[in-house]
Amino acid sequence: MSELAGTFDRASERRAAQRAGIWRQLWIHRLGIIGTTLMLAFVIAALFGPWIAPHDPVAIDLDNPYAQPVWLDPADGRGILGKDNLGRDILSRILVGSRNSLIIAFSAVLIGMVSGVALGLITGYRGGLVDDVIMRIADTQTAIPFLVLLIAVIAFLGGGLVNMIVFLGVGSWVGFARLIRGEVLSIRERDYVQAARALGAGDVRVMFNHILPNSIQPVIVAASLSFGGVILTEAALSFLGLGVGSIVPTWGKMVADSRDYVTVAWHLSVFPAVAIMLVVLGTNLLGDWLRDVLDPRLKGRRG
Amino acid sequence: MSAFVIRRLLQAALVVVSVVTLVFFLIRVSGDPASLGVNLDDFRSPEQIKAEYEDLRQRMGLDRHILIQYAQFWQRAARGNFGYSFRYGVPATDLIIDRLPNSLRLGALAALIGITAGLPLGVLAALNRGTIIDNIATTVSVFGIVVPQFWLGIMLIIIFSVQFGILPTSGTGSWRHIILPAVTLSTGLVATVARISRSGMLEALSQDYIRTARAKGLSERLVIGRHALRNGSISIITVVVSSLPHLIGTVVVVEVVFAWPGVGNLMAQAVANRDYPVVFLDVILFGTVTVLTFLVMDLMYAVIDPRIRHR
Repeated sequence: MSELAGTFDRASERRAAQRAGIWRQLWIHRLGIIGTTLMLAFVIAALFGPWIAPHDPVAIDLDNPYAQPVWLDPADGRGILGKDNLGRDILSRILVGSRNSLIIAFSAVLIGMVSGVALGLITGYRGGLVDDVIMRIADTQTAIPFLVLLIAVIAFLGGGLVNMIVFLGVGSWVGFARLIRGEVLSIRERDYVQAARALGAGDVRVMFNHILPNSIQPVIVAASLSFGGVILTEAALSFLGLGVGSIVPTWGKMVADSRDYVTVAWHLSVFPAVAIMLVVLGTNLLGDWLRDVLDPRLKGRRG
Repeated sequence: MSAFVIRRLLQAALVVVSVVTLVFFLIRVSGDPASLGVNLDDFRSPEQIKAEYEDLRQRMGLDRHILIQYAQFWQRAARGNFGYSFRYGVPATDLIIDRLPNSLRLGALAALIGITAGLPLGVLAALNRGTIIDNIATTVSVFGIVVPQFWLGIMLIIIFSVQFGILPTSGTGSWRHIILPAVTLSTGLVATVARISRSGMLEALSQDYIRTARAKGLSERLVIGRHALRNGSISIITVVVSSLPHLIGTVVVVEVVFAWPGVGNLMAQAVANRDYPVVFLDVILFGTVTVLTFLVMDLMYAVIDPRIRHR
């Protein structure tokens, strides 16, 4: 009886929360919504940047170099966020540049996630020698500071868009592998896995149909959180001159290029950096929110 | 205990050997290092260049089988010989040893700033939860996580060197030169320490022994300082130490921004000059430092906490 009452209570609480109205819901999830909005905005910029951009991002206008942002100097023909040393429109360059930055980060996280999950599944499920070897490789990789390793690898093997994506992706498999390995180790012995095995399911089927779906949630959260780290790493590499060399620069390259002109024009450096910070902030807020929503047990654990 | 120490030492050695092996073969896969060391000035004839190239290949032992090269590498490394810098013509080890103290000073000061700024920030935030102080602390730590350090360095130079002219823009010389690089390097650490100490303090304050301490009539200062803070200190040390690989990566960038003559800057220059023996040794150094630090941390834990030894 008391149990039933408890159920009713919880149900009525839930109804009350629903009645609390959409504004209260939005307020509770405000950080997650800010994060989602930021990420949506950047995804839209990455997809449609060339069409949204008010000017040609590579068009040079030597009459108006270092033009101030519009609110400081509302003259005609000056970009909203001003112009750079060659008179190129900064807003347009940020919008168009978002595509490179996001493609690199997204693909790299995807590569890291898929390879990390696959290896983590195998090591966790199989154990033994395979586990030992793969986890020792993981130890080795974490022993070398990631950025240092990347600098060395790019210096020796060359940069470029594809290499950059692969290196950043391969560099981030360890976190995913450790995460999923831990999950697999705890799920492996659960009753439903034993039941599936008793029914004659093969290793592959057990891994992909039974273990993976039950251990994937923290991976999604980790992917979101690592996205920002990849953006920052890519920016740092661009700053060191090891980024993807292309006509439409990434944000890190824009900040790096602006370095020689910062004393005459602060805005060349500030706006691309703000773009970087907003993306990193967005993925962090989104990741934290996803974790709270997907797995209430972990609420507020990180940090 | 000794079994644990031996196992942990062997593990660390294995990781160092793997790091060296990985980088060694990475370099060999990437192309011909001898071709990078050849002087390609215009006044030299193709024959001269070819002769120097062959000579260099032989001197570096590149004409032998790669596994023999690998064995030879260890032979030489055992005697502390890691090859000569292509650019400076001196042993790579000399270059590194020259610049290492600068990086260590920078890193140590950044760690000091990280703890002395981050800890009070986190503790104050926890003690004043939900107030404006908490919000400021959270904002600072979020900023520390999302800001690209190279950009922050540039901004600090604009503000403190160009606008106010208080601090030098780059280089070394006086104690004032180290301030801006150290502050830039410490931002990530300040953020992490503040976050960890805030959550650690919040958790500690909800424990029974804190209530007991208060009930005994201890002053709030004693309760916080001796009971809550001390119990959280291990997790703070853990966080500082485990952020080391990230800190080292940031060192490279920060040293470049401020033209700080450390090993990170040396590595960035070596990469730009294709000076591969120096890059190689730099990577080995960073890897070894990381492994040794983690080793010391693990051994310290084992001394403090007997449960770890028997795992």
